[in-house]
Amino acid sequence: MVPHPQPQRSVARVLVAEDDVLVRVALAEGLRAIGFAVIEASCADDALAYIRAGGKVDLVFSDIQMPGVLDGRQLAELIARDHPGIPVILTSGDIQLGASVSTWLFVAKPYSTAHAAKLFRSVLGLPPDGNS
Amino acid sequence: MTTPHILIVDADILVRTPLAEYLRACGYLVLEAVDSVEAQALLADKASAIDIVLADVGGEERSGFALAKWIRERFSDIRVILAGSIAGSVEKAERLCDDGPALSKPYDHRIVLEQIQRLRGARKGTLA
Repeated sequence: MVPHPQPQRSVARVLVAEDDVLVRVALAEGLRAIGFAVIEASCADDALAYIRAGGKVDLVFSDIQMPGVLDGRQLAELIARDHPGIPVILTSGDIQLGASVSTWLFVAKPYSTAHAAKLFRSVLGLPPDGNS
Repeated sequence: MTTPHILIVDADILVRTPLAEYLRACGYLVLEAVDSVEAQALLADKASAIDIVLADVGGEERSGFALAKWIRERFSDIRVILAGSIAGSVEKAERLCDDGPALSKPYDHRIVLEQIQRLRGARKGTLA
């Protein structure tokens, strides 16, 4: 018997842009396990393409240094300009890079899924411990 | 019964994301990779947890074929489905896939689901 897709209740949709696949998948799986819907992008260009195509996104969490035309900071600037309703949080293992992007919330690597999720819930105005 | 794990390998976020979300809504645990390099990194890290790999044949490099060969040489339990939209690639994929036929793109999500179910059934020695 072929399973049918179950209707999805409304959940917060987080777009994770991260070029390290193991980091990206670990975060995505952790966030899905606690109720977030996660869109995965391996670069800022893909993240922007998804948003510009009309993909629903409630929050973007992006690495700063990634291959491609855009880096995470440029992605954040374009989203702020064209989609001001979507909050952007940047991340990097380079603390000095973090200091240079003070316009946006910044999470230093390494981070835990729990820490990221707590910040996402806070930014999205969700209850701190409930499912998203 | 454990949740079946599917690895989707497709460079196009606008193709990969809706298919991954559809399969998750059907109860599968879905991992995503944008290319063969990412897929190999995930398989090296999580091979025991992955049941089926659904891979795009790829563009000019046809890297999906090499990925399928790489998987078959290392992970005999993992089934591979190749998908392509380039003339001739689907026929080549049929010869390389475990249980053919290969899938044509653009994906029909329902057909992808049926193919996954059929592979799972064959793996268990039963009809899906």
